[in-house]
Amino acid sequence: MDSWAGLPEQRLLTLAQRGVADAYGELVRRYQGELYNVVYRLLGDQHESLDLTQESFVQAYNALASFDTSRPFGPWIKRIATNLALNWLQRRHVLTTPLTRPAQPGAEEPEELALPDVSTEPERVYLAGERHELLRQALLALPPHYRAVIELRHFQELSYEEIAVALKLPLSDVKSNLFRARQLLRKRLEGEV
Amino acid sequence: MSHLSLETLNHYLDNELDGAERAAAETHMATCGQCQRQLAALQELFLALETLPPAPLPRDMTAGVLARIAPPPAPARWTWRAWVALAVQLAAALILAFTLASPAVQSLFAVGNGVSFDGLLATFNGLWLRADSWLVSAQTVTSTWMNQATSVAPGPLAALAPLQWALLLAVTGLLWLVGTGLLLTPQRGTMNAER
Repeated sequence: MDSWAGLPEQRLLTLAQRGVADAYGELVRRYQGELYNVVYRLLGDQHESLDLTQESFVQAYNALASFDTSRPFGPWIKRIATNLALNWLQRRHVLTTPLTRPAQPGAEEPEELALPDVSTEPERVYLAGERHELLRQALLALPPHYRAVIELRHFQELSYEEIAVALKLPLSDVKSNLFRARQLLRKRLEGEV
Repeated sequence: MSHLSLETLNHYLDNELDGAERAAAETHMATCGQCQRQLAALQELFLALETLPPAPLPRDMTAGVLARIAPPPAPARWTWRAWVALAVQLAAALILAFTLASPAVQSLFAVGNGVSFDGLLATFNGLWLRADSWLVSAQTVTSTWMNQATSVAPGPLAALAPLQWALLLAVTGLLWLVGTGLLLTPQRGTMNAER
């Protein structure tokens, strides 16, 4: 294991492309924490996040032959995980309780709903001194398309243009979604929601 | 004085304003307390997001991933060594078959030619006595089987002497060992060279 840990990422990718499973195992070890957090921030469920993180690694491995090993592995696999998580959210959104109420005529944006499995009582969270947890819950309470732009902008540090490409959205939608997502987050963190 | 919009402040913090827009925003904020407060509030949110600690990974998933990734289809390893090995084995097998079937070899091992199997046994009496009995038994069993298998038209193999059978088996085994060694050697080399 130690000998793999000492190899640079590019070498590991080349070996993994040749079918050396242990080299890919080392890449999994290096990125599993980051990738799990990408998915967990989007889904908020530990078991689902573990499953989708694993699925992301498997899908990336299956597509590895077409990957340019001169590029960094992290952003690529994070994009795969993000897409998987967003697809999963869409399915869950359709199959279970909607995350937003339909927008009222004349309303600027849909009204968000709390996720059923996440505590959203600000006082309780504050009393426990868990501001980070409050932020996590505020993120999870956002509609999925708002959550996606926050994830890509703040955690994966993509530019507006890159987000537009990743989410297949017009640039104007990216800007407005990001702006509204932040407004909702601020309101929630200030206890207004 | 018109204040900066929240959208502009967002774009300012995202570094998405062009040079002129950015300069104008900074000039305005230098003298506008309200916009400064708005910017500070927005910066607080940015900071909270940037400092959100990662959630701990519940368990290592390396083994789970490795168990799920199917081994890629093995690339064709028909290197020149494999082709040479195959050609050597085929050639040797053909030579052996023609040699054993040739009248000269047949007559060499025929009874009564001075170098017959019985003559060899007589020369190496003590050493070959046990081998003789074993080979004769083997010949009997083999001949019986061959006669049954080729009852319609007995082939040349049915007439092989015990020594011929022994030679045939020995040469076949040797060829198998050489061929297998040639075929496996490049694979071991490839595996070791992977790292």
